[in-house]
Amino acid sequence: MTSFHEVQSICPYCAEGCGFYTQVEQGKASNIEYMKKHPVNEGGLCLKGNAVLDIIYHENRIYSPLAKKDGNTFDNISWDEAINAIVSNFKKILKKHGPGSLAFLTSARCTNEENYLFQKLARIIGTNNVDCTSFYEGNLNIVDFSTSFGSACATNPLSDLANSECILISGSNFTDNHPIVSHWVFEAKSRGARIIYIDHRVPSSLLICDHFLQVNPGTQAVLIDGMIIHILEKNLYNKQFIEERTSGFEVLQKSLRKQSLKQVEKISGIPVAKIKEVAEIYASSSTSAIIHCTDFNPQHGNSKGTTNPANLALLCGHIGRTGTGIFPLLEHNNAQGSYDMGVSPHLLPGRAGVKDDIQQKKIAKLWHIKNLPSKGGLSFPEMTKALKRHRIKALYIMESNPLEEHAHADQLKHALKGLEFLLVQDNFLTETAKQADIVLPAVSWAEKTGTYTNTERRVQLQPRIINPQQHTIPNWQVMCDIAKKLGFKKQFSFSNTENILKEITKAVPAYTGISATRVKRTEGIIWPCPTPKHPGTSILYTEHFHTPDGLGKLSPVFYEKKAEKPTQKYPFRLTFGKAPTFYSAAITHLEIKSSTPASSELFVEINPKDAKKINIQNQSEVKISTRLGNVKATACITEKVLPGVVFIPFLPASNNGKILSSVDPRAKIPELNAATCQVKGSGGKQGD
Amino acid sequence: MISKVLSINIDQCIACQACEAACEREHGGISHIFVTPINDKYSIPLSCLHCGKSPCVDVCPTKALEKTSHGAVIFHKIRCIGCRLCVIVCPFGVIQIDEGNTVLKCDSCANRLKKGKDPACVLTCPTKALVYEKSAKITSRTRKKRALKTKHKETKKG
Repeated sequence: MTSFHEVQSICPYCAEGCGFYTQVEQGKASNIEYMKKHPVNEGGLCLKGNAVLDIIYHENRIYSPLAKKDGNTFDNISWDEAINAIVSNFKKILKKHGPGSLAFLTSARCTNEENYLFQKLARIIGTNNVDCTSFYEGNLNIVDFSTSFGSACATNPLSDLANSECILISGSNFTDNHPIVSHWVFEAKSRGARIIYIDHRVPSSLLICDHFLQVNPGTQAVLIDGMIIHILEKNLYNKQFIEERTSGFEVLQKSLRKQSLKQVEKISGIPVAKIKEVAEIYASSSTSAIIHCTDFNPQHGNSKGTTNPANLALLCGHIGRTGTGIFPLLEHNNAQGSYDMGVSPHLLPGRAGVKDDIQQKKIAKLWHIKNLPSKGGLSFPEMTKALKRHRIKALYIMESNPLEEHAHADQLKHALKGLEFLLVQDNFLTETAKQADIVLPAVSWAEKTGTYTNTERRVQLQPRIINPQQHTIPNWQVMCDIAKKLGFKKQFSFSNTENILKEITKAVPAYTGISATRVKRTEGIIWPCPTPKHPGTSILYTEHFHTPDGLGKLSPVFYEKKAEKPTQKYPFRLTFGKAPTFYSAAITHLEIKSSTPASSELFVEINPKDAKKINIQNQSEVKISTRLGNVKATACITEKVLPGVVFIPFLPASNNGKILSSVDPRAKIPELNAATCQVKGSGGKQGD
Repeated sequence: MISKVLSINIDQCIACQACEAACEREHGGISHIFVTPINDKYSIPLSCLHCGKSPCVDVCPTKALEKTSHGAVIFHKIRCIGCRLCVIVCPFGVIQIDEGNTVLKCDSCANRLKKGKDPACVLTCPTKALVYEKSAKITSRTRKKRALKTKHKETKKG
């Protein structure tokens, strides 16, 4: 029998950050084993988690730097040649057009160390044009919390959900996307908690909730406002908490005075009595928590999709204690960490604004430079526009595949052609990489050493499991090589990832007490961790909020825009969500095995009543058209969706991209839950 | 004597298919457990139930299927003639036969049990809908749950 050893590992897919062991046999990752003692998942792993090893030895991985020859063909080149070509291109463009002509895009799948270096490289070159593509799939649902609470993150650890007496789930399809969260919800339920589930689509198990409120698409926030109205009317709010811990109560009260529950019923489709019932349950339980997720965020007429739940929690004082709080479920494994690292055109490491003098000086000193660029940079959607106007000349993309993962893929693809130089670093020759002038092979998760911060703010270490395969070099080393040749030797002389983490702890206040040795432990460390002895802070805001005045801010929500209304030509509301087999590009290259053969095809869910009306059969091919384009899908007739509503999963984005348009004005997230569409059987009669 | 059995907390299955993925991984790419939708809303993960009076064992002409003293129905490949009788009689449709005429069914992760590890589908289950425990423990938990529910209903009313 061959011997193997087990290495503690963190799942590289979603932001739950589940732990498991990878078994290594003769230098190869051979199998996985469950880690029963992990604080997030207690051994459990979802479909994706069971397939973590597939990506490591995937036959489509690239192992050598590539240079574009002509059109679509590439030549293998050496690392030296590649780095030299990159540096000379960057230098040339910098000289001719200045640092503002460079842009940097990364992914929330990269480690804290990688993303920290990535934004450092951009800023040292002299631009804030650095962003994370993963933030634009609804992942920015944490941003509004910085206004309400002072920090943009979840408040309590997932396991604390078990201590809740009431859990309000809003727009979060977590049974599909974050299955491990279900464990804690069931745990709470078995202890007698009441679960309220608000979504426009029936979850895969209705047994998870006591009250299911099937709202009209994109109206969850309005429904929550309805709950707030009732709580205010009946004086069910926590008066002491409001007096001592919050600000803005009167303004909120005033803003909602004009609205009535009848109106809320009309918009959301939920009867007044039901709204009152769930509002009373949430407000009167001694501990209530709120879970919300991607689906919740991008919706019409209300770009502040997360302000309403924050208001609700503050109003009832259900925050800052065990069993309470808000749990935004992020999508990618390191979404929270990437945000903390300052991968943002407007935020420096430590989540201070790029114009914040104090943090700017601190970072400049740490990086041995005179000053940082103080002009805000371009966000990913803005970059697309700037690309079209040829204002960006060079783009560096790390482990991100916007052409396959995002809306507007066609426009972006066209815009990329105007670049003088495109550098892509990835595991695969993705659609995006195919457009590049130079492609660098990235190492997979198992070949990296680094830390990830999960959706609970838990910083965990992923030690290197196997050596980088063939000729690959870890991303951080590649970035250091490029930076050194650009003349930033002093700033990028790291000998290992531990050194980078040390610098992170100096740059990001919440990470101060974190060290490689400390995050090695199975339970990691939950930031804020201000000193090396500090145990970490699992529950935030126990005494005060992180706002300047220490108070939680209740802010009224205004509904500015009107949703695209169904018309005779486009009679259906088109809604999107994540299905487990449509995770992201990492998976599109994997084709996760599944016993349901149809699951990897694009499908569209439609209510039986509508299907009958427009005369389409189950499993038949249909065409979905919006004002912007169309896509073919297999019809799935189900009562999961309301009449008048159709649902399609995210991705393959190259398809979705064709039928989406507008971008949410605040978070700049493609607006997904607001379009109207037409569904037509292929060859059949058009419905009206 | 049966030590532990596979059981399902039926109300906790979210049809995430993690058990199928885990079973595939443990059994060379073929899953012996099937997340079976009952209706639009509910599903159950179904695998060999290792029936007390196993029809598959009864009909097997070559004793390729055997009921062990531990209560598991196990398969001996060497004795199998690929007659498919077991597939025909299995009331749950959880016995498959591959192209090489080999019977594929849940072996309770015998390889894992030998090392003291629970079956893969049980450990991977995100919601602990699948459990591997002594029968008495399972039933007592169900009773406890029931009691809690009744109690909770009463408090709600009161």
